[in-house]
Amino acid sequence: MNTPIPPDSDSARQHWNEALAAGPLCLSLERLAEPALDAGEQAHVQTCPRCHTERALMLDFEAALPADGEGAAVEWIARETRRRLFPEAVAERQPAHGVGWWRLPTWATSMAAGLAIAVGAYLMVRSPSPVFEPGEPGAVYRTAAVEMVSPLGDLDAVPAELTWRAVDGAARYEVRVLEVDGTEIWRTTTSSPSVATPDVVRAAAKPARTLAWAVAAMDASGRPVAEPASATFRVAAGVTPQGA
Amino acid sequence: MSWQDASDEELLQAYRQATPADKRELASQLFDRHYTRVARWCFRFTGERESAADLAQNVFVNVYRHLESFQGASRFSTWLYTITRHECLARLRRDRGRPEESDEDALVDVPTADPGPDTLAEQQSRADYAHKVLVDTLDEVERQVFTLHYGDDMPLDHITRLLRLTNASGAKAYIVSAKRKLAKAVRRIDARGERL
Repeated sequence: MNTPIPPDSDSARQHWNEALAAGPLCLSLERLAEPALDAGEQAHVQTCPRCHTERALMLDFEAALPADGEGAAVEWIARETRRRLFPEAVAERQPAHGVGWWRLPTWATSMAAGLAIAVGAYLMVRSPSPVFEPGEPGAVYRTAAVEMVSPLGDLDAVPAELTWRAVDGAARYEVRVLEVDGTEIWRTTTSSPSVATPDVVRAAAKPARTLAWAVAAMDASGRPVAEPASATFRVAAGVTPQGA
Repeated sequence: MSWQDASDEELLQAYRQATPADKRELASQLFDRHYTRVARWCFRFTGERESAADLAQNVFVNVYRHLESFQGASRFSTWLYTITRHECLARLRRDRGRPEESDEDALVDVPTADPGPDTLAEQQSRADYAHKVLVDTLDEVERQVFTLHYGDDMPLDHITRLLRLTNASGAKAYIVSAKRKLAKAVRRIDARGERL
């Protein structure tokens, strides 16, 4: 079949639109969300722009890392969303401001009212969501999941090391660095909550290229003691990777 | 009871078994973990906080409506991503006056394809050539920009924010570069007589 390239006409754009839709061999979002993929899945993601892009976006969504200049807006949106959905949780803590119920769609207001009726007089006041403050990497926390410390998100330089918070009861950590398509670049095991970035990862950390890294915590017998975690990082364009 | 250390899946399990009053509390606790994640995505999509808050609200209202039926075929955050992405693209279609897809399409736990063998082969062969050209010709960022722009009809300014592109002209530069490379590639392919 003839693929018209580049997409300079309506028919060409339509063709690309169809070609870039998720196909029957595309991975489910559940699979795309996994840090590590099996060989067949990796092979598909490497050759499928749809799955490759979807996986990059999903890993970014999971990581939820801030970008420059958006912190205040994102905080406001999160707070506002919570206020609209669970007004009882914030009503006694702060006066309503900004976008009020009067600006909500009718269906949303009705739904909220219905929920309120269903719940009756059950009101609860909770503390606002805690703001994440990175702690000392060496500190020990009891946690349901490994907490990644760095590298996270966009970087100005290739990271010197990979660091996470120590997990109570962990005797060793398995660390992996992966391409977005799931191809494993490097793997190691360590007893410390950090590891120096090896040359193979430095070389792979090309500008504007997203890499994923994952950490699993295990006790002395090899049993998991926390949920494994993953994160992504990306060296900004224009930075020369060391060791490349 | 404190659910601070519980996983999302444990919270969901408790939610399914809870009384109506407790369900609301459990949903609130679950959502607290994800407001920022959804807010960030929506803000990058719209570039404006009021409309992003409307989008985020729609996402969580949809999640709340279907939380009972979510059976955990995927992680909660994966399901949430699916709904967030769907809501953002639906907003794009609404803004352009195009018919919306059913919400239900995005609200199943995780959609998986189940085509017959003939359909599978036909669809795959149609896409394979295009994919090969893209993979052979474009770099990673160009492919992502191209896929979102031509595959999802996503505007370039949205893509710039979603991919956090910091170059002066954002996604536009990548599209220009991609089209130039594709034009060069097709001339090369035509010259060799390899066009399928």
